[in-house]
Amino acid sequence: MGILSTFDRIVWAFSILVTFLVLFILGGGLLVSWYPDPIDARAALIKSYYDVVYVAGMFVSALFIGTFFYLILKFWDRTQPAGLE
Amino acid sequence: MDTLEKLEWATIAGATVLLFGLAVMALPVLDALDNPDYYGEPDYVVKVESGQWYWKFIYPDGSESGELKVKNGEVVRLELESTDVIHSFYVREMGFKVDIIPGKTRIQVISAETPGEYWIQCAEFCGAYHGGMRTKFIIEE
Repeated sequence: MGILSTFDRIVWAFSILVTFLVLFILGGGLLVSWYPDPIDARAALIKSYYDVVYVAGMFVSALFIGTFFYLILKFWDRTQPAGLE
Repeated sequence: MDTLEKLEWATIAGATVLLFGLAVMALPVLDALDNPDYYGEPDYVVKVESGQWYWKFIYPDGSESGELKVKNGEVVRLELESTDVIHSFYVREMGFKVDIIPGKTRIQVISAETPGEYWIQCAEFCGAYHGGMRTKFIIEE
């Protein structure tokens, strides 16, 4: 099983998924992309590639930021006072 | 192989697949941007003169205009030149920019496929009135 339990893996995957969804919503999704409507075939080709890079970049960002959130969740020292008591 | 080692290899393999995939997908886009024959033989040539802070379009019959006007369906070869500093020909809806270097002629072939009025904006900071260096790109029915 290694250092991660099944529950750990589920939480990790969930952190990445939620981060991806948050980035997707913050970025305006695909429907309201800032990229203007293309007016010729070449512009449409460029936009289609832009969309792929956009989603791939968002996926990689979600992977890293989601992992960061997961590490905070897992290794948060809950025995220490949070200062809000 | 322990978990961390597996994770390390998964990261290397994932990044390789992703970057290689993006590179392969970029090839036709780069060809579309750089290939002057992408749209085939152009119908005519328009010389584009840029300077601080104006655009001038010189048509094959010798007429000059401050706006670029083409008919729908035409393939037009633009020969872009600058009289002073670096400018950049940018039409947002066409998805490309062409930097115009003084002393060089830049070629860009465009295809008019959607009638309407669009903005041509200088996209390289060229002085005090750079922001006002824009004009209309009109595609007529």
